[in-house]
Amino acid sequence: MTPHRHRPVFFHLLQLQLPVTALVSIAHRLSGILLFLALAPAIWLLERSLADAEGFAAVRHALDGWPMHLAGALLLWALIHHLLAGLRLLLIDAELGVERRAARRSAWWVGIAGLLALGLGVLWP
Amino acid sequence: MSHQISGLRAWMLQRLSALYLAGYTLWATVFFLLNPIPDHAAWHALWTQPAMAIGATLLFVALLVHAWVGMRDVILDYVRWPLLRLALLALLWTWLLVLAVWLVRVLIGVM
Repeated sequence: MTPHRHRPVFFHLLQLQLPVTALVSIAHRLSGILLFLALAPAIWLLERSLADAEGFAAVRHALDGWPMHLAGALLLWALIHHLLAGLRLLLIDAELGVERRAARRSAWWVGIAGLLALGLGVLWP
Repeated sequence: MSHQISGLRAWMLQRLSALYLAGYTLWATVFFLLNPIPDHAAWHALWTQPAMAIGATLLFVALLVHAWVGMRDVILDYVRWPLLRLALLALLWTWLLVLAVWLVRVLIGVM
């Protein structure tokens, strides 16, 4: 243990050149935390929308507003990214796409699909 | 509990719940694109159907299990001080339990 006590630690996050697979992995974790935080508000919206016609209208009205629209777009990104990054990991568990080139390519696709979902969420009428 | 369901079993639960969540998401996306919900009556009627109630119950169970394993992994990865770690895990359990009770209430209320 002692010989390694003073090993150098490089933590300048902005200078680190992370490969796309690492970025997708970090975003997988971040999107999961976001979705976890969204659980309670989502259940609240579900409860209100099911309660009565007024509640349903109130939820629909709230979802039309800009703040909720942007939050919805962010959560859509989180959902799509988390879903696709998770499926990518399941395929890698099944020994599909383990090679570095294939793993990088699938990570690019996951990241791009997530960003497309974000754009779709923002532009959704 | 965490001693018995740690490691491989938690990993398996995470994967199994992930498969259900992925399948449900795909189904719900297609369903709601094909059948937009016009009003409260239609929305409420949809939730009273037995298939929907069963599917949604499984969805909620899968969601809570998946959230538990994921947040547990995050806490175990980043929180190294044992007492804080234990406190956060207990908080996570309590929070998920609150959500579970709340979801049961929502399901009972609609059925």
